[in-house]
Amino acid sequence: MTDLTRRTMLAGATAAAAAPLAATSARAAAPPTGKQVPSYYRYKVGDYELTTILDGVRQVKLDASPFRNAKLEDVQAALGASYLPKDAVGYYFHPTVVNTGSKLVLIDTGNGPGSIQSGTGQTPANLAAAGIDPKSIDIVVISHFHGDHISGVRAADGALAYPNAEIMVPAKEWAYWINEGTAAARPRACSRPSRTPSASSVRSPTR
Amino acid sequence: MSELTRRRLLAGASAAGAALALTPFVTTSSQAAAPPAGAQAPGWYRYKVGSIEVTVVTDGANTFKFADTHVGNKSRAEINAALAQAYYPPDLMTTPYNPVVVNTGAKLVVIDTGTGEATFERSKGATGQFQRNLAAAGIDRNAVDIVLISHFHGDHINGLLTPDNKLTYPNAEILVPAAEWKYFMDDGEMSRAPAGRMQDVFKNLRRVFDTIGRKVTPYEPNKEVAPGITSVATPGHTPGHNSHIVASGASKVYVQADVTHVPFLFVRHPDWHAFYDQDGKMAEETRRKVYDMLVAEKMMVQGFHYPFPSLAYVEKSGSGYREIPVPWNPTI
Repeated sequence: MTDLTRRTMLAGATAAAAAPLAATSARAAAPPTGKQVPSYYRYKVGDYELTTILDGVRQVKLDASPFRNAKLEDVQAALGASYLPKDAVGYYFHPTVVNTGSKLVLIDTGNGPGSIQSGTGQTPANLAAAGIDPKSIDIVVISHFHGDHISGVRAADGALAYPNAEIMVPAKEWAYWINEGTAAARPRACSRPSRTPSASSVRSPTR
Repeated sequence: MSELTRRRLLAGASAAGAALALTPFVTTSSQAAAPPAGAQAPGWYRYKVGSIEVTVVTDGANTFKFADTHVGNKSRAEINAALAQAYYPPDLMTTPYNPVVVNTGAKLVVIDTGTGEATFERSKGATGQFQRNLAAAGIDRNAVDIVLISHFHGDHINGLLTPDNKLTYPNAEILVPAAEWKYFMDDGEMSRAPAGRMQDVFKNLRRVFDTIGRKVTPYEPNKEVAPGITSVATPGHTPGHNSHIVASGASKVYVQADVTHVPFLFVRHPDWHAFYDQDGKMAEETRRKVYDMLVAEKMMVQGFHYPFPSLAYVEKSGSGYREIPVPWNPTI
């Protein structure tokens, strides 16, 4: 208590907010780590264990409205209402792993190894952090054929990212995008190379 | 392709949704999946406030059946209705405990300490996680320079002690609110405190502070208690409760401690007086003052009892407020 009293008096004497109350040893704090925690999150759905995996966030500059039926100012107002910056939109990409007890299933694969520069393609790193071995994935279920969902089926070296997995794709999506007859009829806006899967990037179901 | 077509036909043939769900579509090998991990991601999250690095480190969360008196001026039915609106089950209260670590560049500061590592085994790992998550975040407890205490409830101070009653942060100065110290260390106040919970609060904090020989440094409100960290008096929850503003450059975050408890009840309904608000009316006045400021200043709030990582903005909503969680940032 005497120590306390002395300290209190000292603190009182320095008064001004500019003078920190705490001990003023010359020792610097531990260096900042500069590192973020791995981005995954786990929860149960009944007996199933689900793991949400973040593939990353892509910041897209907001020069014009990205949405057909919304004005730029309306998009910016919506961002402002959520306390988000108005000059860019951060797009999130979250594949999900489902362990059903009998199968380990990956739903969608993220932007793939070619997108690391833009802040995505982190699915393999976050899977590893979550303790999930890509070789133990039994099934990859694809929701649709946009690049942010399918590009992760291949690793950086071109090999299959989930070598032991059956890759399941929506039959309708396959018929539409892969069938040469419908390819000719697709709208031009949807045929940008970055959004178009090549047939070779998707393994046909084996049975 | 023919394979695909056959499958579609089969799916079509089984027509009813229920039939489909019962008959798994996929291969039926007898091999089991990889075993479930059964573990959550490490419980820490980092962000910058100007040049200051803030790490939210969870101590875990406690879930318990709440008493009829949990909120003095609201009935169980009203609490359950608010829980249902937030998609929580009835009659259960889930309380997260999320202290923060602030690296100011000059000082490594822990703000509040959690329920203590000793609760880890008792709670089967639900709480008492702070030391584990701190280590996972790459922070050495021996490197902590300052432990800054907001108020003297057990979930904020019990982590000052290791399970064997040693100092958790052997090299840290422990800063406590002067008003809190004056009130709770006063034997007269203790003798007048009602039996039951309030006596237990007094007994617990004296156990903790007596174990460390009462070696603490009281601080006043409106002081820069560490570089970039300023204390603010926010009384009501306890008599000497303080919050802390962490500021660097143009950035600020309001580390509120218990100005509100869980946001889905007490941010939405600032007029609700929970039993742990020692002076319910004063706590409400403080709550409204702080939250009006947070709205006006568009300042981020770091809430000790907000769900992890407990970082949000606040907007007005009806007669109360609503928190808007800050989106997860995978980089810092």
